[in-house]
Amino acid sequence: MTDLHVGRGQTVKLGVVDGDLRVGNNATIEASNDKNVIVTGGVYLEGKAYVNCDLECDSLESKIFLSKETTFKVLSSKQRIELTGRSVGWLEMNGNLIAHKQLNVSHTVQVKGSIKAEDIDVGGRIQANAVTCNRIRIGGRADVKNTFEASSAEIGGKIVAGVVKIGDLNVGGEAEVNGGAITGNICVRGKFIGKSSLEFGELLVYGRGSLPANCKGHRLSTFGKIDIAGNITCDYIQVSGLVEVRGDCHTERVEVGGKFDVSGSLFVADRLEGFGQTKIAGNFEGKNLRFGGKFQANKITVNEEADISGKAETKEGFKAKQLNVRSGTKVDGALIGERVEIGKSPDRTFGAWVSTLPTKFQAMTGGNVKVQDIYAQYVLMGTVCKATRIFADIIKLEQGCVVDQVTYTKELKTDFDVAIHQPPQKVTALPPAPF
Amino acid sequence: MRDRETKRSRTDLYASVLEVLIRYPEGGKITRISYGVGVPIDRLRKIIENLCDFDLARKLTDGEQVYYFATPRGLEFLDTYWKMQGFFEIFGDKRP
Repeated sequence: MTDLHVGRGQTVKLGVVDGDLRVGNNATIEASNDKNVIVTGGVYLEGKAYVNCDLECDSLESKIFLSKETTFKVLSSKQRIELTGRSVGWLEMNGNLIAHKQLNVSHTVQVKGSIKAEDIDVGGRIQANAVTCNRIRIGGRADVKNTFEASSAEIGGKIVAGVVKIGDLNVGGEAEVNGGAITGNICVRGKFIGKSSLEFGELLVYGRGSLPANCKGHRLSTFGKIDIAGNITCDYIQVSGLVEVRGDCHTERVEVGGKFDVSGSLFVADRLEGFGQTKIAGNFEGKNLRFGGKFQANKITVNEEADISGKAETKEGFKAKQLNVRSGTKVDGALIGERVEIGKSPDRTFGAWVSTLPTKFQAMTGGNVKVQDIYAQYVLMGTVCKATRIFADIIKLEQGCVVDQVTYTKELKTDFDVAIHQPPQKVTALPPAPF
Repeated sequence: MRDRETKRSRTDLYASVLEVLIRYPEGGKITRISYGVGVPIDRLRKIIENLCDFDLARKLTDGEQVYYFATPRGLEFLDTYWKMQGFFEIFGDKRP
């Protein structure tokens, strides 16, 4: 094994180096076969280096050389020493780079071809056509034109990449990717932009996110705003700020703490919960629904239980197996269900503390629900509730209820002070529900 | 070294420094932090001194080498900073 040293500012042509290669500041390396240089040991850059060919090595390292030492006094009479860097670890390559183990560059790596390495650690910035590695850590910024493959990527400030295949991605400020798959956790502190369809594991964006159509993921959460340009399939969506979907949304579970806006239809396999505002231009279909706030949709179909408070607006109607409309709620559109309870539970729009109120107060504040038509097997209306028409087998109306029209098949029970504008009709068969 | 339309505020700089620091759990050296943040060393020293005074970062001297770390309070600051940025996005404000 013979180590080789390329002097400062020199240009050398190399073939195979059996041992380590030391490259002086501003030195240039070229291949004797016009293709590649192979170094069996490590490459040590003593400053800025230029490589005009492919380079294959065990490891590549650069360090900073300090030339100037200045000592000066500050007001507190403490001495401070300033060290000024003479040459920094900087690599510029025209070919491809293969480092079987570690690529460690103090400042910047600019590679026109691709980089393949086990472990990449860059002080400031990396620029490459393609990067394939196990773990990458960049102090500041990464620009990868085409494919970027890594098990774990830690970027201090910003990443702009083409098609990605990443395990975990942790970005300090901003990430812009052109599709691919990020299977693990993605934590983007400021902004995330996906330009082509992306598969993701857990995407957490603190500021603003933008995803294209046809993305698939496990979990999507935002504290700020996320725009999705088309359909999306995601197991769990957590809206702490604002999420806009310009298409259909298929999900297992949704939690809305802010505003959730869907231009298409929303399909929830398990449940939607929230206290914010949900606006769906198309239909909503889900297993369970619990919300307190404002919920708008063309048609709502809930297979199991729906528990609503606040305001619900539908054009075609709201259907659930068990439907509980809490006190103080206003519903526009027909209600359809097996069992419909109106104004029997306290309002949830103010959060969980309502349940801690004394029962007497809850009873006082109960009722005050305004609904339109109800189609059900069993309808129970609490105090001071208003409905337009009720079609049900069994109907119970408590004190102060006001109904325009009541049609029933089995039983009608009314407390005192109940107003039914038209005489109640007992029929053998109820008219069909809207859907 | 970054594409910036607007000048970074002091708070943005503090956040950027801490973002780089958390990527060096074994301790970050001043030069590397400066490359990561994109700020010259003399300015960075003042910023890091402030961060240390506010207990957002910690300085550790090992012989001649000085390493900087983010403290739990620094992580808390970063979390709050990005959450606030999220709120500014909703409000439509570009800067805190």
